[in-house]
Amino acid sequence: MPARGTLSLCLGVLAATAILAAGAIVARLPVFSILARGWVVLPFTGVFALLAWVEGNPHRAVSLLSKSWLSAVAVVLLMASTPLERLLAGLEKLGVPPLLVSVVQFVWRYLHVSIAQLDRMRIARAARGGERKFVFATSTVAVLFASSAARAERVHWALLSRGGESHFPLLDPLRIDRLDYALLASALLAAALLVVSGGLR
Amino acid sequence: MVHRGERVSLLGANGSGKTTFLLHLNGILRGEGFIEVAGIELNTANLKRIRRKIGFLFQDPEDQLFLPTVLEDVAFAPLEQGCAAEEARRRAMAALEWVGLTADAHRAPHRLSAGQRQRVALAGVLAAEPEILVLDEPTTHLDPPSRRSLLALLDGLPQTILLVTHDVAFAARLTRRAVFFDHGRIVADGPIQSIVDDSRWSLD
Repeated sequence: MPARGTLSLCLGVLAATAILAAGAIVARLPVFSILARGWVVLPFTGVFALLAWVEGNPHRAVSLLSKSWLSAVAVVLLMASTPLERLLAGLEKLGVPPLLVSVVQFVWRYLHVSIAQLDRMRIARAARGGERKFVFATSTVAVLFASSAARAERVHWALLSRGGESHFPLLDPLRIDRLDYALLASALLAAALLVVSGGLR
Repeated sequence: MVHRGERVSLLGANGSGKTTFLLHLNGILRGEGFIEVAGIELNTANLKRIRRKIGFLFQDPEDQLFLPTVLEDVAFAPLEQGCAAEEARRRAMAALEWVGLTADAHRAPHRLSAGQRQRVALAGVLAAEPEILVLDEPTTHLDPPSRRSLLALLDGLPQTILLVTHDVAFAARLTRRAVFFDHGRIVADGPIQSIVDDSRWSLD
């Protein structure tokens, strides 16, 4: 019965949207712009949805689109409401290996350093009148890699000198309060409803 | 041999072994021979204790500041030493106040100027309450006002200081004694002015 399936799908998507919107309101973020940013995934999933529609399965098309949109909104909301260090500490609590967590932290911290270096190299090339873009691109990769490796070693020295090991302690310990429980419970409830009604298939 | 509270400059050409020497002091590099830090022999078992006694300030603060906010970074060493969060925060804020950056505690390090970053790095070193400060070319990225403010900050400290630098004017203001490195060896040791004159280590 496609009609009933589609109805429960719509209800489920509405419920999930309401939960995400509530999260954005609680976090004092602009609700509509958070919801709108979810559409960044549209070009990717839109193609598949279109294919499904053409194949004569509109239910699947709507399901694909809404699922990817909801996931994207959830990610946008998480990134907008949670500072990176707390997000990473949370991941570690959830069992993500500490090594992986510190890799992400270091990538985040040093990405802009590498970008700044790339900018300086580009300016230096322009100042020398360099026009051979391909030569520049290939040698830049090599130089960036070498200097990043050297920097990694210096960062490690600094880390050791400051008595560090592999994980980063937090100043404000993580805790779960009533609001977190409420959001978690409603999200679980919505997910359960969707599964039971067969909405997101 | 460096006495408690003494300040010594380490001068010498690029590649003469100054930084390599420094990295031996807290056991990041290991070689042959005997090193004693604050009365403790350096060996594998003592590494943590010795690293706690030595505060290292590196040339590029970008290497040293690896946490997302200034406060978290300055509090890093106290937390690693096992301080409770409250105590770590207090020590970090005290160190930031001392370098005049409490207003920037919650900013990201990359939003600061080079001089401010170097002061944050210094605060992070001081928050660990070290007995010895090891400074590896701390003025390279600094403009003259930032150099002056770093000099004033360092001059007010009671700690033993080892300073590696090419900045002779800075070194002469901060330290009386200097040693001169050449090809990995100390070839001269004495009052900084005579070391600089003998090795013709200034612009004129």
